[in-house]
Amino acid sequence: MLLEKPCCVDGEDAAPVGAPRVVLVGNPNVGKSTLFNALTGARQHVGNWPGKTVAVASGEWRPGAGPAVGLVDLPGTYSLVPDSPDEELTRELLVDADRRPELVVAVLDASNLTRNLYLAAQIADTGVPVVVALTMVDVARSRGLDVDPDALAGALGVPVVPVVPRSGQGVDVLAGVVASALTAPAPFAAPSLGAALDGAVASVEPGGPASRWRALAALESADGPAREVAVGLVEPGTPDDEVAEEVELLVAEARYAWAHRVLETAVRRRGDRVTWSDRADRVLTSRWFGLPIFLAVMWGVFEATTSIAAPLQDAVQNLFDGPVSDGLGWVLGAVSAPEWLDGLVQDGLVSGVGQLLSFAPLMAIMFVLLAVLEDSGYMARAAFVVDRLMRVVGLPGKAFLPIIVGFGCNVPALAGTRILRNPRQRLLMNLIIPFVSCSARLTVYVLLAGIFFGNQAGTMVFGMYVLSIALVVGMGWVLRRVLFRDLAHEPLLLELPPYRRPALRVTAMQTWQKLRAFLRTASGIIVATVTVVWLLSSLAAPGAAAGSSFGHVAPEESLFGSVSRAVAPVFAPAGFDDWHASAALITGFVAKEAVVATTAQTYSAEEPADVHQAGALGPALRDTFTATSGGHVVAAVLAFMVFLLAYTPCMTTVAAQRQEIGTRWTLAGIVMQLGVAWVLAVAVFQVGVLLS
Amino acid sequence: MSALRQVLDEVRSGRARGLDDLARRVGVSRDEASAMVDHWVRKGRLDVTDLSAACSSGGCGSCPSGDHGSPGCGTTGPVLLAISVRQP
Repeated sequence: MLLEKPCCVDGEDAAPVGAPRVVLVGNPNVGKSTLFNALTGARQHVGNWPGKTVAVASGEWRPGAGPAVGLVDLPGTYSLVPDSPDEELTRELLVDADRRPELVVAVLDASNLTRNLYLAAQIADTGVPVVVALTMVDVARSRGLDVDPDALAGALGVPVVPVVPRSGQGVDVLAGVVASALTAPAPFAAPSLGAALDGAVASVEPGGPASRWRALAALESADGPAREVAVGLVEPGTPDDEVAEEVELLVAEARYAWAHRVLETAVRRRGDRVTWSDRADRVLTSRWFGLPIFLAVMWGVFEATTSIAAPLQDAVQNLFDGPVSDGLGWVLGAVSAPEWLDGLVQDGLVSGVGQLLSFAPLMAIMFVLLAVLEDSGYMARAAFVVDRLMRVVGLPGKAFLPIIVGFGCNVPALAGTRILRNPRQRLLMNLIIPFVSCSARLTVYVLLAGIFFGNQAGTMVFGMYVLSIALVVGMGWVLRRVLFRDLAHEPLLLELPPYRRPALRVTAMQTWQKLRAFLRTASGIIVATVTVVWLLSSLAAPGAAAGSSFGHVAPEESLFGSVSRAVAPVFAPAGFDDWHASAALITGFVAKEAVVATTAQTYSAEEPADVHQAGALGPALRDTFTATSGGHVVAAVLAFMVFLLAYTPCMTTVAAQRQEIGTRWTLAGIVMQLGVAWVLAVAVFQVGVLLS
Repeated sequence: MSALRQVLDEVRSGRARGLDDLARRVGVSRDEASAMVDHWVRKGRLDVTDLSAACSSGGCGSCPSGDHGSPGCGTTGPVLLAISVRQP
């Protein structure tokens, strides 16, 4: 057969006209293209196959001492029953009578031999002569599989040559075998599919090239003259429209059974090798120890984060409270800036941005630790463990993924619920994801835990995350039984990835990406909210003391202060009915990143001299909570933190929710979050009072 | 029942905990079980999804270091594979 132009690059072909055509066929990622490069060297080019948009590499190869052949590297394919244009091309080339190659080099991956043998069985059905190039033998060996090439050759009835395409090992042997096969071509004996199928195939074979393949295709489509034979293959009573699918399944079963027999003959398994990874997984994903270990690991992360970051946070805060504030004050004084500008910069921006930036070291350390856990493969185990917990309470199996994403930010987590196909499942997840504690809430926990819980700060922060998981699971359980009783269990099989050593570059990149995103988002929000809060704090509320004017009004009598004071009594049963607290929660509704800044801003506006002293925010907060709680400070602070965890995360989340589940459900979700937050905060405070 | 049908049946039942467990239940090697799962994925009966918490939820395309749909960091984190029954 003459070699057609396989490529259309510059209208030239790399192989001599009239040379035999040899094609490389194999699954994707078996080393086929590397082998092609090793065989052809620089004598190759790549272009679309004529009439197709499929890119194919072709070149000249001189196997052994024989004449040159045209070698074509066909796209990786899993099956000759095509799923894509790439696979369609391979099928056409092997089956179409006027374009069939002289020889197929089937590149089989020894470490994934079953699916490779399945393709080999299909190639055999086309009747084209075959030589097998066996790759990845070393990978198979590392997995405890010894593949015997001679035994494989005996089982297949074709030559099998082990090759290492990257080093070129075995390539010379392959060349010699290919040269011999071209001289004396022998077809690849098609595997027996069992008496019934083989008989059926024989009865409908049309004859000519690829006769067996065409017969099987006719039976698998159960169409035309082959339909009667196909109906005879399936169970009596099989519906007409299921005959084709059933025959196709019978053929696939027969091919896998044949592959199994070949494996039994040619592959020796060195026992059930138990790797250290298997041993680790037995403990880390154990039904009894998996969850406690996960919680212990996360406690370690938060404990290490808060203790390592504390001195760094103080240093950044001192920098802003001292040199930065003093320097800006001097500059504003030197340019005779108006008083309102001084108030905005000193009491607003410096306080807010300083507080925010003081959390950068903490965030960086936490992101590093989480990146290490992720890159090592532990987070996949954690997800496996949490998934089991989710199933216990009846939530969909895949729900844990958006939840884990939600610990960073709720907004992508809401978008991530789209991995759930069932709209009711997505709705349920959209309602509970706001209870996942995002990184913006972490800043408030750390601020309050550092002030009120001292050495136990890390444990308290960890406790908030445990409470967050409990809230997600608990609310999911309640909603499932009240509003989502129709949701059925979705079976799921999870496959764990192997462990690996975390890469420094990946860890650094992930940390930087997350830190940059946090700072970028937070800085925009901080500047905007600080400005708005400053503006509203500068405007006198109706009924303010006489003489109040813009920029000259007592903070609690400003527009912002009066609204905050009006809201504050709602929190009296929770022990924090102070306007500073309610002011922080109001801006927290817009964005949690703004809570710390607003807290600093409201105290700063009230007592600028005091709060600009390093660490002065702590005593101010302590005084407030002592006053509002009747001395039950810890209970009130805990209640505040719980409310902050459970109520609406931010306006961006609300917008994302509206996009996912519509206005009605979003509003219902906000009402639910506020209700749950208030009830929990009151319960925490009242129980705390009773216990103290 | 053939091994191929058993694989589908086991995934549908949700009994198997991973590929190794699936292979044990069906009585085939892990390699065979994996190939059979892929067979059902091609036939549109099963779904295999990468479940990654490490990378951007929108995939490489939405990651600031993504490079034409590939990981710009040079690698992707180890991820869970979720195999589930494809819904009609």
